[in-house]
Amino acid sequence: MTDGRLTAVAPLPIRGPVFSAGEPGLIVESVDFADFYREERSALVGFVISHGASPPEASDAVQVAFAAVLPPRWETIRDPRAYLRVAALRAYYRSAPCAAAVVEEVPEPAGWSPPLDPVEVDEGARWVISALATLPWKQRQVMAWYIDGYSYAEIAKMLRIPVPAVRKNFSRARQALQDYYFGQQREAG
Amino acid sequence: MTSRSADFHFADDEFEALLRQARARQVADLDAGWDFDAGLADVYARAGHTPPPPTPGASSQPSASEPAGQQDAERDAVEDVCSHIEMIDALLAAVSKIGEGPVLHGSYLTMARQYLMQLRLGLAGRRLTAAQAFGLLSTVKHDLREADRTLRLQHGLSLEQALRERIGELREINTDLSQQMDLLDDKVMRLFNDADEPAALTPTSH
Repeated sequence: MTDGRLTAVAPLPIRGPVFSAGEPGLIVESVDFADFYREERSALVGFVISHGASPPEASDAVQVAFAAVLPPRWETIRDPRAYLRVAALRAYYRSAPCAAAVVEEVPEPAGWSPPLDPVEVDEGARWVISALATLPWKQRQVMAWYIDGYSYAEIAKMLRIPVPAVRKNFSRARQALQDYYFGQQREAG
Repeated sequence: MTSRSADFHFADDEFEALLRQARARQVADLDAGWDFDAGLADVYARAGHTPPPPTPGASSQPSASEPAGQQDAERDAVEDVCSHIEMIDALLAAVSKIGEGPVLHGSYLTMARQYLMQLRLGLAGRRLTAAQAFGLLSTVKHDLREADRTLRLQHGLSLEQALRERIGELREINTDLSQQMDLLDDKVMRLFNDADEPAALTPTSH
């Protein structure tokens, strides 16, 4: 990715939702717990990492979340993708309460510009994950849900903020990533 | 951080592709480094549930003819090792926060914690041979030595000194990681009767 263009990718490598879009709470399709674990575990770990956890912390939080929804309780979970994301985040915050307290209490200043760390732009786009972790808290939250395939409306519901706030935070996060990416491209000549 | 530019921007589909590519790479990396059978066994063990039947080719469950008392003793031994691993992991988590920004010792500590997690999961799920377990222990020790070396270079502190600074109020904890690792070595060694056989141990209930 040295010519300023993005590498073409296969369509939708993000794991798709197990439950198709229906009425909230409607069970559309049952799924085996072990199959779901194999399919979603790594995406869940990535989701928690996007919120600032280290890989071991994220992995542990996801294990805790899965352990809490083992069958027969598994059969009662109506949207396991969303449920487990929230549960894993809570498990992470319980293990790192200081982090949760800080990010919830410190407001984002107006006109704030995210201080992205100088992570190297690579072809595999891994830099995006590192850069996401340096965004302001709300932007990071919004992007973490967005990258996992959730719509603005769904994110707003999850984060309990208005849809316009989701759009604003998404736009700022995108701008920050964009500035960083093209800045690196210019410096590379 | 660069200044904002109106001349360069991602098209919507480009940005979507970038995000998807990033997450796909991350998931692939995480998938590659994870033992899903052991992970599932750990999930069940944490909830105190009976793990699902092993997948074909996986290590065997405890023998039906194995005395119940022996199974209990083995389970206790694994729980003890898992607790010890978690204690070491907590120490490493505390010391990994030393310094500002990217720090080399932090990378070594992160790797050490990942290998410790693999060891814990592998032992809990009875997926490791003795050779594999001690291979992981050896890797953890190597990473800790490198973390110690870089800490001395970057901060003029040994790993143990850094730990004492971080958790100085917890005097009852032995912060000598070399001793802690040696103790873990001994505990893991006791789990295995035959050096090259998978650990015939019941998953723990963490």
